Amino acid sequence: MKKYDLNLTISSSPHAHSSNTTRRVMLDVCIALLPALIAAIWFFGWRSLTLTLVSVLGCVVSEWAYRKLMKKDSTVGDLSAVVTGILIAFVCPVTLPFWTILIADVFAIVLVKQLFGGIGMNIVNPALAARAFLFSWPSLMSGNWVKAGTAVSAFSTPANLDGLTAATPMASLAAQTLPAESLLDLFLGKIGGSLGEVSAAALLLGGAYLVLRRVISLRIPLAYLLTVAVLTVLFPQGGNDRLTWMLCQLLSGGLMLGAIFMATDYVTSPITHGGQIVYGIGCGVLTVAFRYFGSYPEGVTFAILIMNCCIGFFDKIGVPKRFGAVREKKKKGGEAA
Amino acid sequence: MNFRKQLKAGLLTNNPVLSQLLGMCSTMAITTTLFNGIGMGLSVTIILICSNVVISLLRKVIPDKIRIAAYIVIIAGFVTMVDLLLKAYVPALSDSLGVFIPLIVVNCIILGRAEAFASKNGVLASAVDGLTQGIGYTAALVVMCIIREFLGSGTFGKGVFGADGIRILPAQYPALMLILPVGGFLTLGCLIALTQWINKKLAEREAKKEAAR
Amino acid sequence: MKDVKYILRLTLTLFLITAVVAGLLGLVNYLTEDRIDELTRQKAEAAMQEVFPAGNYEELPAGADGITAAYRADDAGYVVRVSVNGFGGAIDMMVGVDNAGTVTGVSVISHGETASLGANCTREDFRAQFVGASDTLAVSKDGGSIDALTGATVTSRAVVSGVNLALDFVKEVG
Repeated sequence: MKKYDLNLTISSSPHAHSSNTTRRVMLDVCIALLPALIAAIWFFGWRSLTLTLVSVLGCVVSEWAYRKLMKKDSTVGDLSAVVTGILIAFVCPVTLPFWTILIADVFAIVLVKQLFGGIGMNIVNPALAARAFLFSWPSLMSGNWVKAGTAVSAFSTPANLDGLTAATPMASLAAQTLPAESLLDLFLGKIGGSLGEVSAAALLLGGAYLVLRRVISLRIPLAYLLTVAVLTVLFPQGGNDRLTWMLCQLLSGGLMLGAIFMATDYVTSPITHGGQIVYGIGCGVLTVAFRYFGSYPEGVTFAILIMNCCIGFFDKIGVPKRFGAVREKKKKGGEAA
Repeated sequence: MNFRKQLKAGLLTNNPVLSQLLGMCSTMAITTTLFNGIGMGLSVTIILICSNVVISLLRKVIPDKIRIAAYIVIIAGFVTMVDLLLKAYVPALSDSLGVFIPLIVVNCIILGRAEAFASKNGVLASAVDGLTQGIGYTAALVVMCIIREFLGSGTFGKGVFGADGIRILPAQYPALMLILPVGGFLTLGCLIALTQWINKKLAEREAKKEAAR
Repeated sequence: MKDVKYILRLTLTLFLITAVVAGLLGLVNYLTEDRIDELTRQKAEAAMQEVFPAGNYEELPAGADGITAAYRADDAGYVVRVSVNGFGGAIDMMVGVDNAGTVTGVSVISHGETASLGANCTREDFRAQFVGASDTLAVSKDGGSIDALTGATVTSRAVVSGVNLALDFVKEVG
């Protein structure tokens, strides 16, 4: 533990006190995710809500049980498990069986987060790691994308969906064709896909709330989205119109959710401003690379996970100068100079 | 030499896979069914005993400067023999382990034990070391196999009890990841943590005993 | 002088060890060679019988890339042995094709695919999909008729390409 102890000296009063706590931040994130949840219920029916609630419950119970078993203080109150639970549900198709999402919850909380020491210690984003783990059940994850507007009732686990499923815009883009849906539908979320990913409008609304509340800064999402935009406008595939291709890429798949809510996770993103920008650009480059050359249609998950592992390097970029300090000159030719 | 002490070292405190972190490649690659784990474990154990004995016998003859070359030749010889014998008499195992049998040559457990133990100790002790380290390797593989096969395929004893083993979980539940390399890393990580925890407890108990005396 | 002696000793020791090991290997090889050859032959024979049963197989000159061997089976058809690149190295397989250019069977002899995923390419229900086909095939993901194995698209594509190679070969020969 010693390694992480910060050498903070507490000076004498007066102290500036901020009401900013982990719980407050996480509550804000939950509020920001609400529009996307409402959109999901609107497009996919009440099962979106039950799946999200089951996932939240799974995460909270795993966190509580692990801390209890290991005789550590309970951290359930900081609400971070609730956010993880919501995000896991948001990256799943609405038809995912409940048992599958519960396994993903336990995986995210116990293996990815708690085994490394709990909140603040995890190397990668738990929700994204869970998403990657969910590829264990490929037929459940990517075989059942229901059309938007299919109301799935709260407690059913539909198995036979013939006629209700549709290719997602992401699948069309992977085949180098433009999706059949209009750009407006893509923006509003009237498309097939993971339940919280579909509505770019709702996600942007939530993102705006987070920025206004100063929970996140614009650096990471903006660097991420701009990189994807620039790369896709420069290199459109399949001879499609540059601008339309770029807009479709931006509005499809998990890009908005990833850029606004996952890449900005405090624990797994760089602290320095310069580092955050480089990190965002890296996420963007990798996302486009996975989408263009990977064997899965979507690449946001893997892009952010890989960048998560590299933040140790990015934190060295753009470290601000200490007030009054003179920057050490680079040594050339050893001490003798 | 105390056999029990060496066995404990091989299984826990100095387990080749879980404590020394040697032989990772085969550990990740083949631990998907019980049959593979037992077959690989036994092959390595036999080769380890043979190479340890021969190297211990020759330890005074082989000059220091060429010892690594000599060890590799001896190990490669034994591995190739086992490979040929398996191909001739246990073709099923040879098919399922494929290239990982010839790759035992570069398995660091064998060269590691030759260098760290057999080149410095007598024949009997070296044979016992080969046996206990081999048992440790096999045990680690078997545990990994059982976990990965159960969680990844939902079966127990594939290849040992019939071609498809005993089905425990219905086919739609197992997590594919566990039989992919990713699952190897996840399982190994958890097992290493568990071994370290057990070792810590053992050391604490030992210290208590010392203090009581 | 001392140096020369030392170098000689090094050389001789290593030479002796190598010679003994080589001798032993030769012995083991001599003892197992026939059995291994016999097993390999039996396996190939069984695979040939499976994909195109016949009394006599006459070897043909192998042609294009990927075709490692080809046999004329009783004037009724062909057995083509193909090697294609899968997910984990080469997949060695036999394809039986009758005179009309229709696939009669596919058998996978050896492969290095992931256990429980790509390794399922040896499964009967997967291979049975090829029987009766005569046109160029593709997996359903690429707009064809072959259902790919779960989680193993690369393997499925490789097997499909192998069958296509065999079909092309027979078209050229027959």
